[in-house]
Amino acid sequence: MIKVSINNKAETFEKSLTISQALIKLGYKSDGMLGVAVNQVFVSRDHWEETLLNDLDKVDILNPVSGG
Amino acid sequence: MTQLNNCKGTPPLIEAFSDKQSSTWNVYGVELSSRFFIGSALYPSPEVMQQAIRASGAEVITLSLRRQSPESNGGEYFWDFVKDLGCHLLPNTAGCHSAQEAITIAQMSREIFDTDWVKLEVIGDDYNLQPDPFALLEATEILIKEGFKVFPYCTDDLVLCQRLHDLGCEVIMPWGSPIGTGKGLMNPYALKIIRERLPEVNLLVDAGIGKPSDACQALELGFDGVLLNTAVAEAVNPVIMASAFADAIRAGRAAYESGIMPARESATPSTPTIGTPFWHQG
Repeated sequence: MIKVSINNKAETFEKSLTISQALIKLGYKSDGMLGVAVNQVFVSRDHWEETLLNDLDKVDILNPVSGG
Repeated sequence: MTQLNNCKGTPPLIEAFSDKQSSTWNVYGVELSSRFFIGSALYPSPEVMQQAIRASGAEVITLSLRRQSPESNGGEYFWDFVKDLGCHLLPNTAGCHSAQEAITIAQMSREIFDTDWVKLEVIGDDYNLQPDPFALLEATEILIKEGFKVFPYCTDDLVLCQRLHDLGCEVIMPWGSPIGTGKGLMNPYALKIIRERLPEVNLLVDAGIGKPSDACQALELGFDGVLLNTAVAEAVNPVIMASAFADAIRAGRAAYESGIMPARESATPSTPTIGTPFWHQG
Protein backbone atom coordinates (compact mmCIF):
# COMPACT_ATOMS: atom_id res chain seq x y z
CA MET A 1 0.00 0.00 0.00
CA ILE A 2 1.36 3.43 -0.89
CA LYS A 3 -0.10 6.87 -0.27
CA VAL A 4 0.78 9.62 -2.70
CA SER A 5 -0.40 13.16 -3.36
CA ILE A 6 -1.60 13.72 -6.92
CA ASN A 7 -2.12 17.42 -7.67
CA ASN A 8 -2.48 17.91 -3.92
CA LYS A 9 -5.15 15.20 -3.63
CA ALA A 10 -4.45 12.11 -1.49
CA GLU A 11 -4.50 8.88 -3.49
CA THR A 12 -3.88 5.33 -2.25
CA PHE A 13 -2.59 2.45 -4.38
CA GLU A 14 -2.25 -1.20 -3.33
CA LYS A 15 1.42 -1.22 -4.18
CA SER A 16 4.12 0.81 -5.85
CA LEU A 17 3.34 1.44 -9.52
CA THR A 18 4.77 3.25 -12.51
CA ILE A 19 3.73 6.71 -13.61
CA SER A 20 2.12 5.20 -16.72
CA GLN A 21 0.05 2.81 -14.60
CA ALA A 22 -0.98 5.62 -12.24
CA LEU A 23 -2.06 7.87 -15.13
CA ILE A 24 -4.31 5.13 -16.48
CA LYS A 25 -5.78 4.35 -13.04
CA LEU A 26 -6.49 8.07 -12.49
CA GLY A 27 -8.20 8.46 -15.86
CA TYR A 28 -5.61 10.60 -17.65
CA LYS A 29 -5.06 10.11 -21.37
CA SER A 30 -1.34 9.36 -21.29
CA ASP A 31 -1.00 10.28 -24.98
CA GLY A 32 -2.61 13.68 -24.26
CA MET A 33 -1.03 17.07 -23.68
CA LEU A 34 0.32 16.58 -20.17
CA GLY A 35 3.53 16.78 -18.20
CA VAL A 36 4.55 15.06 -14.98
CA ALA A 37 6.79 16.06 -12.09
CA VAL A 38 7.48 13.95 -9.00
CA ASN A 39 8.61 15.80 -5.88
CA GLN A 40 9.09 18.87 -8.05
CA VAL A 41 11.42 17.07 -10.43
CA PHE A 42 10.36 16.81 -14.07
CA VAL A 43 9.93 13.25 -15.38
CA SER A 44 10.08 13.04 -19.13
CA ARG A 45 7.42 11.03 -20.97
CA ASP A 46 10.13 8.59 -22.08
CA HIS A 47 10.59 7.52 -18.45
CA TRP A 48 6.96 7.10 -17.36
CA GLU A 49 7.06 3.38 -18.10
CA GLU A 50 9.98 2.70 -15.74
CA THR A 51 9.58 5.40 -13.08
CA LEU A 52 7.99 3.97 -9.93
CA LEU A 53 5.89 6.07 -7.56
CA ASN A 54 6.76 5.51 -3.92
CA ASP A 55 5.03 6.13 -0.62
CA LEU A 56 4.54 9.85 0.16
CA ASP A 57 5.60 11.00 -3.30
CA LYS A 58 4.12 14.35 -4.41
CA VAL A 59 3.05 14.23 -8.05
CA ASP A 60 2.06 17.12 -10.29
CA ILE A 61 0.24 16.39 -13.56
CA LEU A 62 -0.11 19.57 -15.62
CA ASN A 63 -1.97 20.48 -18.82
CA PRO A 64 -2.01 23.49 -21.15
CA VAL A 65 -4.01 26.52 -20.08
CA SER A 66 -4.14 30.14 -21.15
CA GLY A 67 -1.45 32.45 -19.81
CA GLY A 68 -0.20 36.01 -19.96
CA MET B 1 2.86 72.24 -41.09
CA THR B 2 1.96 70.63 -44.48
CA GLN B 3 -0.89 68.08 -44.34
CA LEU B 4 0.58 64.74 -45.47
CA ASN B 5 -2.78 63.14 -46.11
CA ASN B 6 -3.71 65.72 -48.74
CA CYS B 7 -0.75 64.73 -50.92
CA LYS B 8 -1.46 63.06 -54.24
CA GLY B 9 -0.05 59.52 -54.05
CA THR B 10 2.05 58.30 -51.16
CA PRO B 11 5.45 60.01 -50.77
CA PRO B 12 8.28 57.42 -50.97
CA LEU B 13 9.30 57.90 -47.34
CA ILE B 14 5.89 56.77 -46.11
CA GLU B 15 5.94 53.72 -48.34
CA ALA B 16 9.08 52.58 -46.52
CA PHE B 17 7.02 52.12 -43.37
CA SER B 18 3.91 50.54 -44.85
CA ASP B 19 2.74 47.30 -43.25
CA LYS B 20 4.47 45.05 -45.67
CA GLN B 21 7.86 46.65 -45.42
CA SER B 22 8.03 47.60 -41.73
CA SER B 23 11.30 46.37 -40.29
CA THR B 24 11.45 42.76 -39.18
CA TRP B 25 13.49 41.60 -36.21
CA ASN B 26 15.22 38.41 -35.23
CA VAL B 27 14.31 36.67 -31.96
CA TYR B 28 16.55 33.73 -31.10
CA GLY B 29 16.96 32.99 -34.79
CA VAL B 30 13.31 33.48 -35.74
CA GLU B 31 12.42 36.34 -38.08
CA LEU B 32 9.34 38.21 -36.88
CA SER B 33 7.52 41.14 -38.42
CA SER B 34 5.07 41.84 -35.60
CA ARG B 35 6.43 43.46 -32.45
CA PHE B 36 3.41 42.43 -30.47
CA PHE B 37 3.56 39.40 -28.14
CA ILE B 38 0.10 38.68 -26.80
CA GLY B 39 -1.28 36.61 -23.93
CA SER B 40 -4.05 34.02 -24.17
CA ALA B 41 -5.65 34.52 -20.76
CA LEU B 42 -8.67 36.41 -19.36
CA TYR B 43 -10.71 36.60 -22.57
CA PRO B 44 -14.50 36.28 -22.29
CA SER B 45 -14.39 33.13 -24.44
CA PRO B 46 -11.93 31.04 -26.48
CA GLU B 47 -13.56 32.33 -29.65
CA VAL B 48 -12.95 35.97 -28.65
CA MET B 49 -9.40 35.05 -27.67
CA GLN B 50 -8.79 33.62 -31.14
CA GLN B 51 -10.33 36.60 -32.92
CA ALA B 52 -8.40 39.09 -30.79
CA ILE B 53 -5.09 37.30 -31.35
CA ARG B 54 -5.74 37.26 -35.09
CA ALA B 55 -6.65 40.97 -35.01
CA SER B 56 -3.45 41.73 -33.11
CA GLY B 57 -1.28 40.30 -35.87
CA ALA B 58 0.90 38.85 -33.11
CA GLU B 59 3.15 35.97 -34.11
CA VAL B 60 4.00 34.97 -30.54
CA ILE B 61 1.48 34.00 -27.89
CA THR B 62 2.03 33.15 -24.26
CA LEU B 63 0.36 30.29 -22.45
CA SER B 64 0.89 28.20 -19.37
CA LEU B 65 0.48 24.88 -17.55
CA ARG B 66 -1.79 24.12 -14.61
CA ARG B 67 -3.13 21.16 -12.68
CA GLN B 68 -6.40 19.91 -14.17
CA SER B 69 -8.66 17.01 -13.33
CA PRO B 70 -8.63 14.05 -15.74
CA GLU B 71 -12.25 14.78 -16.70
CA SER B 72 -11.25 18.18 -18.11
CA ASN B 73 -9.61 16.29 -20.96
CA GLY B 74 -6.25 17.75 -20.34
CA GLY B 75 -6.62 21.27 -21.66
CA GLU B 76 -7.25 20.01 -25.19
CA TYR B 77 -10.28 22.25 -25.65
CA PHE B 78 -8.07 25.32 -25.06
CA TRP B 79 -5.21 23.79 -27.04
CA ASP B 80 -7.37 23.33 -30.15
CA PHE B 81 -8.03 27.09 -30.27
CA VAL B 82 -4.37 27.92 -29.78
CA LYS B 83 -2.85 25.56 -32.29
CA ASP B 84 -5.18 26.81 -35.06
CA LEU B 85 -3.56 30.23 -34.73
CA GLY B 86 -0.23 28.92 -35.99
CA CYS B 87 1.78 31.26 -33.75
CA HIS B 88 5.10 30.68 -32.00
CA LEU B 89 4.41 29.53 -28.46
CA LEU B 90 5.99 31.18 -25.46
CA PRO B 91 5.05 29.13 -22.40
CA ASN B 92 5.43 30.99 -19.12
CA THR B 93 6.39 29.93 -15.62
CA ALA B 94 3.77 32.13 -13.98
CA GLY B 95 3.00 31.31 -10.37
CA CYS B 96 6.49 29.99 -9.60
CA HIS B 97 8.16 31.31 -6.47
CA SER B 98 11.52 29.56 -6.67
CA ALA B 99 14.13 28.79 -9.28
CA GLN B 100 13.43 25.05 -8.91
CA GLU B 101 9.70 25.45 -9.53
CA ALA B 102 10.35 27.58 -12.62
CA ILE B 103 12.95 25.13 -13.98
CA THR B 104 10.58 22.18 -13.55
CA ILE B 105 7.69 24.00 -15.28
CA ALA B 106 10.03 25.04 -18.10
CA GLN B 107 11.12 21.43 -18.62
CA MET B 108 7.50 20.23 -18.65
CA SER B 109 6.55 22.99 -21.10
CA ARG B 110 9.37 22.10 -23.45
CA GLU B 111 8.09 18.54 -23.68
CA ILE B 112 4.40 19.43 -23.97
CA PHE B 113 4.68 22.39 -26.36
CA ASP B 114 7.81 21.19 -28.19
CA THR B 115 9.59 24.51 -27.88
CA ASP B 116 12.71 25.59 -26.04
CA TRP B 117 11.33 29.12 -25.64
CA VAL B 118 10.31 29.98 -22.11
CA LYS B 119 8.94 33.17 -20.62
CA LEU B 120 10.74 32.93 -17.31
CA GLU B 121 8.86 34.35 -14.37
CA VAL B 122 9.81 33.86 -10.73
CA ILE B 123 7.56 35.87 -8.45
CA GLY B 124 9.13 37.58 -5.46
CA ASP B 125 6.09 39.33 -4.03
CA ASP B 126 2.49 38.21 -4.15
CA TYR B 127 1.08 41.70 -3.75
CA ASN B 128 2.60 43.30 -6.84
CA LEU B 129 3.83 40.11 -8.57
CA GLN B 130 7.25 41.67 -8.74
CA PRO B 131 9.91 39.37 -10.17
CA ASP B 132 12.46 37.89 -7.76
CA PRO B 133 15.73 39.00 -9.41
CA PHE B 134 17.93 36.58 -7.48
CA ALA B 135 15.90 33.45 -8.24
CA LEU B 136 15.46 34.72 -11.80
CA LEU B 137 19.23 34.81 -12.34
CA GLU B 138 19.61 31.37 -10.76
CA ALA B 139 16.94 29.83 -12.98
CA THR B 140 18.21 31.66 -16.10
CA GLU B 141 21.72 30.28 -15.67
CA ILE B 142 20.50 26.69 -15.34
CA LEU B 143 17.93 26.88 -18.13
CA ILE B 144 20.34 28.43 -20.62
CA LYS B 145 22.81 25.63 -19.87
CA GLU B 146 19.99 23.18 -20.63
CA GLY B 147 19.50 24.77 -24.04
CA PHE B 148 16.44 26.92 -23.31
CA LYS B 149 15.87 30.26 -25.03
CA VAL B 150 15.00 32.39 -22.05
CA PHE B 151 12.69 35.43 -22.18
CA PRO B 152 13.05 36.74 -18.61
CA TYR B 153 10.29 38.89 -17.14
CA CYS B 154 12.26 41.23 -14.88
CA THR B 155 12.23 44.62 -13.24
CA ASP B 156 13.58 47.74 -14.95
CA ASP B 157 16.88 47.46 -13.08
CA LEU B 158 19.82 48.08 -15.42
CA VAL B 159 22.26 45.89 -13.50
CA LEU B 160 19.83 42.97 -13.45
CA CYS B 161 19.29 43.32 -17.19
CA GLN B 162 23.03 43.37 -17.76
CA ARG B 163 23.48 40.19 -15.69
CA LEU B 164 20.68 38.46 -17.63
CA HIS B 165 22.42 39.45 -20.86
CA ASP B 166 25.78 38.24 -19.53
CA LEU B 167 24.16 34.85 -18.83
CA GLY B 168 23.13 34.61 -22.47
CA CYS B 169 19.64 36.12 -22.72
CA GLU B 170 19.14 37.57 -26.21
CA VAL B 171 15.72 38.87 -25.15
CA ILE B 172 15.00 40.75 -21.92
CA MET B 173 11.55 41.88 -20.77
CA PRO B 174 11.50 44.53 -18.07
CA TRP B 175 8.11 45.45 -16.66
CA GLY B 176 6.38 48.73 -17.34
CA SER B 177 4.39 48.42 -14.13
CA PRO B 178 2.87 45.55 -12.12
CA ILE B 179 1.04 42.82 -14.01
CA GLY B 180 -2.58 43.64 -14.73
CA THR B 181 -2.48 47.16 -13.32
CA GLY B 182 -2.66 48.99 -16.65
CA LYS B 183 -0.50 51.73 -15.14
CA GLY B 184 1.67 51.90 -18.26
CA LEU B 185 5.36 52.81 -18.10
CA MET B 186 6.06 53.86 -14.54
CA ASN B 187 9.70 54.66 -15.18
CA PRO B 188 10.42 55.59 -18.81
CA TYR B 189 13.82 56.92 -17.75
CA ALA B 190 14.92 53.48 -16.50
CA LEU B 191 13.69 51.82 -19.68
CA LYS B 192 15.47 54.39 -21.83
CA ILE B 193 18.75 53.77 -19.99
CA ILE B 194 18.40 50.02 -20.47
CA ARG B 195 17.82 50.61 -24.20
CA GLU B 196 20.93 52.78 -24.44
CA ARG B 197 23.19 50.49 -22.42
CA LEU B 198 22.08 47.23 -24.05
CA PRO B 199 21.84 48.19 -27.71
CA GLU B 200 22.22 44.70 -29.11
CA VAL B 201 19.57 43.02 -26.94
CA ASN B 202 15.94 42.50 -27.97
CA LEU B 203 13.97 44.43 -25.38
CA LEU B 204 10.22 44.13 -24.75
CA VAL B 205 8.14 45.82 -22.13
CA ASP B 206 6.15 43.08 -20.39
CA ALA B 207 3.47 43.79 -17.81
CA GLY B 208 1.44 46.78 -16.87
CA ILE B 209 0.65 48.16 -20.31
CA GLY B 210 -2.89 49.51 -20.17
CA LYS B 211 -3.57 51.34 -23.37
CA PRO B 212 -2.22 51.60 -26.91
CA SER B 213 -0.37 54.85 -26.17
CA ASP B 214 1.64 53.02 -23.50
CA ALA B 215 2.73 50.49 -26.12
CA CYS B 216 3.50 53.26 -28.60
CA GLN B 217 5.62 54.99 -25.95
CA ALA B 218 7.62 51.80 -25.36
CA LEU B 219 8.37 51.45 -29.07
CA GLU B 220 9.19 55.16 -29.36
CA LEU B 221 11.75 54.63 -26.56
CA GLY B 222 13.40 52.14 -28.84
CA PHE B 223 12.09 48.94 -27.33
CA ASP B 224 11.77 46.17 -29.88
CA GLY B 225 8.33 45.01 -28.82
CA VAL B 226 5.72 44.72 -26.10
CA LEU B 227 4.07 41.79 -24.39
CA LEU B 228 0.59 42.31 -22.98
CA ASN B 229 -2.57 40.41 -22.17
CA THR B 230 -4.94 42.08 -19.70
CA ALA B 231 -5.26 45.35 -21.62
CA VAL B 232 -6.72 43.50 -24.61
CA ALA B 233 -8.55 40.66 -22.90
CA GLU B 234 -10.35 42.92 -20.43
CA ALA B 235 -11.23 45.65 -22.93
CA VAL B 236 -14.93 46.08 -23.64
CA ASN B 237 -14.20 44.90 -27.16
CA PRO B 238 -10.99 42.84 -27.10
CA VAL B 239 -10.88 42.33 -30.88
CA ILE B 240 -10.94 46.04 -31.72
CA MET B 241 -8.58 46.79 -28.85
CA ALA B 242 -6.13 44.21 -30.23
CA SER B 243 -6.02 45.97 -33.59
CA ALA B 244 -5.71 49.35 -31.87
CA PHE B 245 -2.62 48.06 -30.09
CA ALA B 246 -1.25 46.70 -33.34
CA ASP B 247 -1.59 50.15 -34.94
CA ALA B 248 0.00 51.87 -31.95
CA ILE B 249 2.95 49.44 -31.93
CA ARG B 250 3.53 49.97 -35.66
CA ALA B 251 3.29 53.75 -35.19
CA GLY B 252 5.74 53.72 -32.30
CA ARG B 253 8.26 51.67 -34.25
CA ALA B 254 7.91 53.82 -37.38
CA ALA B 255 8.40 56.93 -35.22
CA TYR B 256 11.52 55.46 -33.63
CA GLU B 257 12.95 54.44 -37.00
CA SER B 258 12.24 57.86 -38.48
CA GLY B 259 14.17 59.63 -35.73
CA ILE B 260 12.16 61.50 -33.10
CA MET B 261 13.11 65.14 -32.56
CA PRO B 262 14.82 65.87 -29.24
CA ALA B 263 12.66 67.78 -26.74
CA ARG B 264 13.97 71.28 -25.93
CA GLU B 265 13.32 73.83 -23.26
CA SER B 266 12.93 76.98 -25.31
CA ALA B 267 10.51 77.59 -28.15
CA THR B 268 11.66 77.65 -31.77
CA PRO B 269 9.35 79.01 -34.46
CA SER B 270 8.43 76.55 -37.16
CA THR B 271 7.37 79.21 -39.67
CA PRO B 272 10.39 80.96 -41.31
CA THR B 273 11.17 84.36 -39.70
CA ILE B 274 13.00 85.76 -42.73
CA GLY B 275 10.64 88.10 -44.52
CA THR B 276 8.36 88.64 -41.56
CA PRO B 277 6.16 91.60 -42.64
CA PHE B 278 5.07 94.93 -41.04
CA TRP B 279 8.31 96.08 -39.50
CA HIS B 280 10.05 99.08 -41.09
CA GLN B 281 13.45 100.62 -40.32
CA GLY B 282 13.29 104.26 -38.87
